[in-house]
Amino acid sequence: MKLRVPWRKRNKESNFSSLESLLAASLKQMKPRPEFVKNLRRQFTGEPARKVFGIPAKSLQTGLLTLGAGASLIILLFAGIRVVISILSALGLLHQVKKQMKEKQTLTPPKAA
Amino acid sequence: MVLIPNDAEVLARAAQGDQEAFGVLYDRYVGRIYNYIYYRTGNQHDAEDLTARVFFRAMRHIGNYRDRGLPISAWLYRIAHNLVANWHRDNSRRQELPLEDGFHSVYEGEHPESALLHTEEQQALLKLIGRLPEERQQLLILKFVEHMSNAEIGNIMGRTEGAVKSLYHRTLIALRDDINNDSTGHFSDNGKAEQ
Repeated sequence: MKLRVPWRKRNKESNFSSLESLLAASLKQMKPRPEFVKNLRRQFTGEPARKVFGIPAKSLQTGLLTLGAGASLIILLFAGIRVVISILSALGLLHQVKKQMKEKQTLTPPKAA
Repeated sequence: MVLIPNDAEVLARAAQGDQEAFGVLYDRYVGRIYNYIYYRTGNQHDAEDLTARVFFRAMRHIGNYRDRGLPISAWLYRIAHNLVANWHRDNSRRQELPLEDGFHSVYEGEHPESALLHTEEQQALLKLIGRLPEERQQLLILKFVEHMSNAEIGNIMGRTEGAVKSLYHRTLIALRDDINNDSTGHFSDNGKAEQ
């Protein structure tokens, strides 16, 4: 029969100091990479791409952005129309000049040789 | 004088969609969550990936967070714990700690041979820790990496202080037995001193 010595058992189970020291030495705090922490934070609080899509619909920023976009669109549209009109009027002018020249040619009698 | 808002105040603001308030919570806990995941996964890449997922999940569900008297850290650790468990399941392998980067810097100032011995001993110990049940790993990480008290660990793990103390004791016994049964020869006599 195996004899158990209570105080030896308690001593064996309660003396963990060197194991705890080894654990303390092995399990050190690890610092995450600063770029990782910074980039992830930006995604939560201020990533540009997310911010543009994340603006609430009724906010002042959205209103101003919409207004600006609308104004730009109208200006572009007018500029486009002006260009088209200018081209058409130039073509019309050319056409008219050509027509007048043709009329002149038909009205003047051919010169006798 | 700058007043630092407590977690409850910041949490209330974050729950209402205040991104800056969520950023404050993030600043406070990103290091701890990263550490926890790092030691559970054993590599920086997965630790970063899972840390990001923890905070994305927290941000998505912070509006549903109900204060049950537990610290916000308990909720974040719970999310991290679940994600790590899923990660282990997806990888369908037990944790093998590859021991990269940081572990080598612990004994930077020592003689290279001595440092190598220490590192090998630590690597072997971390491998043994990785084979422990999840809750025991969590307990050791919270105790030795985060230096939390048994009461704080109990809050996070949903156990009483006494239960944590008991689990810690059983964990040390199991770990010591594993060290004594280790046949790799990585552990010095000092590591086996309590035999």
